[in-house]
Amino acid sequence: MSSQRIRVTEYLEIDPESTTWHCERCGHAIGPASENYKRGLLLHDRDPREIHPARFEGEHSFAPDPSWCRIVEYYCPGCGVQLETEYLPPGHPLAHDIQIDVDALLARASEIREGQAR
Amino acid sequence: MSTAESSTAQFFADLLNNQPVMYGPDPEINAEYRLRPRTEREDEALAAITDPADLSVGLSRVEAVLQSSIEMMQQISASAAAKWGDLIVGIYTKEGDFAVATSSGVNMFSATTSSVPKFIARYWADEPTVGIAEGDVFYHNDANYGGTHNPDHTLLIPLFWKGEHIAWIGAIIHEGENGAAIDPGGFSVRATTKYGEGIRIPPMKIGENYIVRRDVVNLFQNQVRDPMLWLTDIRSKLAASRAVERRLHDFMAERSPELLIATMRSVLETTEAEVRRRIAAWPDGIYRASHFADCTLMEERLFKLSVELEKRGDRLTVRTKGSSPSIDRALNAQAHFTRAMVGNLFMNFLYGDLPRTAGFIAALDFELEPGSIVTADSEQPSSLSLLTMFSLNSALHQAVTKAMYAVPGVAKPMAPWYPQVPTLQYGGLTQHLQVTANVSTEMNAAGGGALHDRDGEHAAGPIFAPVSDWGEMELREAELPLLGLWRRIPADNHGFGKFRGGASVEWAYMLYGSQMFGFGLTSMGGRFPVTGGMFGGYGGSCTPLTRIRPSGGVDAVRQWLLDGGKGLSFEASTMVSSQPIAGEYLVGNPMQPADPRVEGDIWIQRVGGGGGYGDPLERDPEAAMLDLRRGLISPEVATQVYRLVWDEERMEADVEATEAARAEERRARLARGRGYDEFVAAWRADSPPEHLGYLGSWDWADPGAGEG
Ligand SMILES: [Zn+2]
Repeated sequence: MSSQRIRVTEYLEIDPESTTWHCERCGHAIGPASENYKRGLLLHDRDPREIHPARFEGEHSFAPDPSWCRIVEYYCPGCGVQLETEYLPPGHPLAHDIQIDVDALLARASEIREGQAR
Repeated sequence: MSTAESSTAQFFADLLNNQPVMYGPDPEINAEYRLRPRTEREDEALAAITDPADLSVGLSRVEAVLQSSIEMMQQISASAAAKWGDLIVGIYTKEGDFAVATSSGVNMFSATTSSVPKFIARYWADEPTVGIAEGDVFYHNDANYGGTHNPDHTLLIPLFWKGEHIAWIGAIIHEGENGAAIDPGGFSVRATTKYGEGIRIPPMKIGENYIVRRDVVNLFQNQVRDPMLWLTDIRSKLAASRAVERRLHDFMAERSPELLIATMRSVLETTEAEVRRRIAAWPDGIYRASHFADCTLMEERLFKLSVELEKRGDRLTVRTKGSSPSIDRALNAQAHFTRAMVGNLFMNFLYGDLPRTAGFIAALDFELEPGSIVTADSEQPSSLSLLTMFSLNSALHQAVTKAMYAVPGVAKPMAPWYPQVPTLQYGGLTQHLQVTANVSTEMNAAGGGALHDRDGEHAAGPIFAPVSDWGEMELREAELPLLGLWRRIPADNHGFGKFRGGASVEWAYMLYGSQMFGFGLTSMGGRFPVTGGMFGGYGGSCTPLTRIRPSGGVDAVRQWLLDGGKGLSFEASTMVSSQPIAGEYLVGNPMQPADPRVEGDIWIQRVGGGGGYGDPLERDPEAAMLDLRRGLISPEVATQVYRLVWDEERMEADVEATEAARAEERRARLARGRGYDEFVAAWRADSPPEHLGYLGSWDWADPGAGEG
């Protein structure tokens, strides 16, 4: 039940029963909450000029320089929503941006539930 | 022993006992960011409070005093930066903790100048040739002792009551000229050591009995290009401080010095406690983000700013490992500025409801790796440290938003604001035959980040001064040899998303009415955008500098405009692609030293927009249509990014067709997206591409990287 899931970001929630990441939009199970959620997504290397249009040929065209900057896009394999974008130089390590303490999260959630029940 | 022998012995004894021949920045004071422990006097004063409501009265009174004083200082100061808000007035405890700052102005000074009164107390209080007495005036601008960078000048006076030193009163203004070796305007673009950055004043006494020593001011004035600015503003800062002093004397006479002391202590402690209490609600974990800056002032080169936040209980530890090492460019920032930048985000973007005090950074923990560009040592040039700090802010804002999203409290999840301050520096002889050097204020038109529930604000303000202004073009024309050609919001100058970032402006000035005038610009973002996006939203676009040198100079421009200005598009990129007037067209990274220009030269700059929030395919089609109708986005972006379908004649969205186009794009994403390992195998480079001149970590084995 998605109502019991704990919302962590705009597009991510954690199921306390299975301790898994889920897409907030479609409920797709992304992977274990103790791991990097990005491992369960689809990734695409986007030429930045497709998003930020170049105004003329050549350098400094008002678009990011594709040899300096790429946009890594992350999609939900269930519904195709774009959960994250990362502007990176080509080949740069991808950030493990959210490393949540799942035990602490679950403990907090049950504390809050007990508090509400009382 | 003979006298000569004994004095030699004394000399070596002094040397060995570490008697300094000079007082430099104190590493211990500079590393302090916690509040000093309560003094006995503070304990006493707090114990004397019987009604807690008195503390609220005390705070309101102090805030009102400071506010009226900053308004006065803004009026009487000569600094252009002060006019739009680059100033602050505040009070510090006797121990030196910045207790209350004005809510307008650059409130991060409250997180970065406590070290100045602390230095004065440690080194000058008992020094027989200096001392601290009522009526003393102290001054400082060397960022190695506190503050953000050398153009920010601090004037401090001790507040006394019946012979007792109660507090410190401070007035700080960004002064746009410091006598740097090469560059006018306070920013030393071409300095490679701190010795090229002009005058550096450690905390020192410049006057007694409220009278500033004229010979001391004269020493300062002889080092700089705008001596009038210095004279006027030392006086205006002193006047503002004295106004605070007078009214706090009234307050202490009416109530008590104890109430003032208790108010300051209580504001510091309660702010710290409240920030911790709010952080405690966030989920425990580690949150990371990086941002990349594409210019090191003198060359295009990519360097990294990295943020790791570790949140456990009510502790939030900020780390910057992986950031670029320090460099021989004026981009290095001292650790106290880095801490203040974090404080700035909390004060201005998360908890604007709390008083601005040193209590903000006292609530946080910092583990800042030494030797990096965000932990400069005192020999390194740093007058443009702010550029590095603003780049850091992009990463910081993303990491903080991720950390707090689940339980934001009063804060609003948000995409990064456009953090950079593209400062137009100028100097030379005006049309009024006056010598001047300063910075212009259009840089304050930064676009706001998109929020989780609404679009960002256009041309909203710089990240460090929420109440500020970007000035009138007409006033600038009256004062300076410039002709404003346009100011407008160009298309696609913001981050796209479910909620879009606030857009920002482009403007064009022509040099007009002077043969001896120069412009320069200190920013970045010509190749790598300065602003990132949030939760699937995109960042900003690039904002290069465009320069046109018409053949035939100003006369040719005049004739062209007289003839109707054919092809004048009021937008840089179309001017470059269509070249409506014969001449040289140059587009480059927004980083140009302030060198002389030729009358008729046209200078076109952009400030960037804020980051977008959420998947652009979730943007309300009507909202995207409105963006298109208003010229905020190009038809290209409407189609490619928002998958908007519209009737070109009526300029109305076809919602149904848009939904179909979006569904198709989602399917296309599923088809082109690759699984993590497959993607990494194709993407991964084990070292940075050579042409980037990259600085910073690039380590796939690092736990911060995806492999961890
Ligand atoms: Zn989904």
